[in-house]
Amino acid sequence: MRFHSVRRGACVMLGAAALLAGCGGGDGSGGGTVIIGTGQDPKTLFPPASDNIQARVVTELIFERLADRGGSLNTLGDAGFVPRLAQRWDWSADSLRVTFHIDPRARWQDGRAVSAEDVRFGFAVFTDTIVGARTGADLRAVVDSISVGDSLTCTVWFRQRSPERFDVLVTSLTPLPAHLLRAVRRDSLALSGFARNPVGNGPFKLVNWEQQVRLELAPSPSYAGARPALDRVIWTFAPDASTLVKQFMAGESDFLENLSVDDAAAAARQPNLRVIRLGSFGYNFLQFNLRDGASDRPHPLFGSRTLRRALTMALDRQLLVRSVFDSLGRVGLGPFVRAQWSADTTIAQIAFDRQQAARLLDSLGWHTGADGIRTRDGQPLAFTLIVPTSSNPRQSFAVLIQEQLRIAGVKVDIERLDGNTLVDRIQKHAFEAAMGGLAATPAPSGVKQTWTGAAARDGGLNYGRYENAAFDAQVDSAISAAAQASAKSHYRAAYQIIVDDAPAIWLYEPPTLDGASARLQLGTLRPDAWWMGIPSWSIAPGKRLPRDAAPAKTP
Amino acid sequence: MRRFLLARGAQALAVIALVATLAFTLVHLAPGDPFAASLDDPTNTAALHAQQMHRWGYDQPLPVQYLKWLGNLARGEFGWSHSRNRRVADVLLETVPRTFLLMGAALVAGVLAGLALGTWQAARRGTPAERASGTLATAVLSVPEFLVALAALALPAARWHLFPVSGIADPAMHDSMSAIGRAWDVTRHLVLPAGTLALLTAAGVSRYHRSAMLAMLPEEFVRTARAKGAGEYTAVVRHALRNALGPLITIVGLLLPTLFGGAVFVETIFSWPGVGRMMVEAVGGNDYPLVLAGVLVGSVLVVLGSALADVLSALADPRLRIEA
Repeated sequence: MRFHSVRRGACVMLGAAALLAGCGGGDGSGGGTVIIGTGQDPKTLFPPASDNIQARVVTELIFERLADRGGSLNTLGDAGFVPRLAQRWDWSADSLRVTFHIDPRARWQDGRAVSAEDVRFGFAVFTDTIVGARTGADLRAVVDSISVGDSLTCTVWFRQRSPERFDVLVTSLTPLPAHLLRAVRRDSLALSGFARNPVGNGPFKLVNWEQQVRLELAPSPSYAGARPALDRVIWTFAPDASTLVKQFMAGESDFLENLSVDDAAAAARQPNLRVIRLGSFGYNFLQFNLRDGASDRPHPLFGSRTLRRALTMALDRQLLVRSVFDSLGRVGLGPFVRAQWSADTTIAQIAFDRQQAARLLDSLGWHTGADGIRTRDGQPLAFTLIVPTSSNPRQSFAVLIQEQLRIAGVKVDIERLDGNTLVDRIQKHAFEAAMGGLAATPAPSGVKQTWTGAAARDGGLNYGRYENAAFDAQVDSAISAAAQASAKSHYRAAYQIIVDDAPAIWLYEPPTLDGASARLQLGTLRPDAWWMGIPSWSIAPGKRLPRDAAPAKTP
Repeated sequence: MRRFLLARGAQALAVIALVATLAFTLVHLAPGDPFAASLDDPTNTAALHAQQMHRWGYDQPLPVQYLKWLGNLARGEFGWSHSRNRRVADVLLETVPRTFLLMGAALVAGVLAGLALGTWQAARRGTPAERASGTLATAVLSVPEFLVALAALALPAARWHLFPVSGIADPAMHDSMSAIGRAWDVTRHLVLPAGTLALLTAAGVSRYHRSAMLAMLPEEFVRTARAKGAGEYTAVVRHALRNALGPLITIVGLLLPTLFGGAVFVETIFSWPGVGRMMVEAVGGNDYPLVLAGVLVGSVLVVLGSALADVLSALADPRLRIEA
């Protein structure tokens, strides 16, 4: 903070013109330009409607929230959370209210002061069903209302003392400029000009956005916090993954997310590039449909817990992961990722044991036939595994699984489907087994929306329709436990139940490999949101390129 | 001629209407919808999804949606792009000129190169060089566009750094360049994608043009020119080539749909922000209005190309007008 004050003071000395251009120097000789290659445009820059990752990345740099998760990625209570728009917050004695004190220096990019009313207005927009905000339902479930004390003080009234209520509040709500948006009809907000040309309060402002071409951000002169070190951050969009990689390898971009293992190896061989490995926030699995198609009848094969366990036992998951990701992947341990605070690597796994798998299958009446495939009452032990053509790792896993299960006497037919067809089939439960994957967040409570009985009904994400009341109860207890130790204990019990029940074979946590030019000084990247570190990125002085001196386009 | 143009116009409208209807039906019957997000997004609840579908009228019966779409189209409204969150017409205004630039450059370069090659091959008929170039042209024609594009991307761009890998302009420097610098910047970015399409165009044109030239060279007027002392260049280029250009009019018209099809792959691979790439992304996201607008642009282009070829052929050959 001290350093920041000195810098801002220096800016004033340089005069108004320099202020407008930013402390990095109006001639562009200061902070330089970073180009980030990515596959898709944001759909919108209106925070409540941000529904793809690119929109989230950009809006979280343009808009600042009240507070943010800290490096520990804790989601219980407010421990470890760092102030952003709010300088501090105070809890009421009954912990059903929290009062935020907004930084008096905070300004919207049009010069207006950020006020408590903007927080209340943001809440009203996010929770209005007509707006259709993705996080609206979570906010409505946790927060009853927001009241305004004075222009810089607002109080959030929670519905109940759920341990993750603070996390839900600060990660789901973005204050919005009431003075600009109040007059716009709520159902038109997402389609308004603001959604393409937003006025935020964060460290960066939008300079230029040409869809399919590029999006450019520059430091916001009105930002209350420390000025970002860079002069410009530019995203370029290329739909083809191999084009993105070639662009990165050729030095046309400085940063590229989600490199494949092969591309990461190639990048690591180039002296001007480096590869950064982050904690994974995704886990992949072979999901069984426990019901017979869309009906409520048990699936003739996967309705049997013993058979699911036998199939899990027949797979050498360690070998599978090594075959696809070399040493970079990690075997999945259950419906969680190691980067979550609830993760428990001591959960007893169904170990690879081909002989025990054979004994279990024999005990179920599945005996090996002349062609090596097991049969029972004339029916072969066979199923169809659907795989998205868009994912090379999942296709590789499917083929390897097919071979390992063939050795166990199980016939697997692989059906490769394009993304839309696969989604449609899974959502309609029209599959036997699928190569699935889930994106997790630091909040482990997301497991309720993906694996519990409630999520198996009413359009939930539990597409395999696994149901176990004991698992649901442990998840509910974990979610309502205030102390992390108690919550961890319940999560552990829940994870053990689901791993034992084997509604899926937990295959892998994909490696998160990002590529960066060696000229970038990145600091520590947050595994769940690497982009939050961009304001502190810089370019080593001796490694400037001509593009670092090019001035930003006037917005 | 007027009757001929009217007949061709009516035919073109019928084709466009048929294509639009077919596209509308197929797009809506395909799996997914504009608001079906990925399977791993817990925030896209069933209720939210239903709300969005209702808001945009996608929960109405297909015939009702079709009639509404036709009504909007008649008023010149292409609808709202869900994947880009803006009017489809605005998206088209941005992307169509870029695709025309790409296709125009490829067409001019491809036709000129094909003419030169075809003429040269006809003049050098039977020589080893002619046979080798013919084999090469056939080989290029038999390779899919995306492979040629990938090869162009891998070598001249990624390995030799002769041209930019992708995009339409330098993302960091373009705005600070002079007008000439900006034009040069776009040209540099245009070379590989247009070159890929031009290469395929040239290979096709050269095969047609070689045959046309071989039919012209033994003609009496060429022989007469030679007998009157015209040199080989004059006989081939000024006499045979001029008369062999007739069939090319039809071919150039018919090249437009082929070029448009090729642009879909080339724009995607080189990240050229035109209609082809727009279509690929719109199909992936089930952005119905954008897909349909792209199909309409494509079908208009095809019909226009075909009609243009007919009209130009009819202008060149009055017998065709009478038959029409």
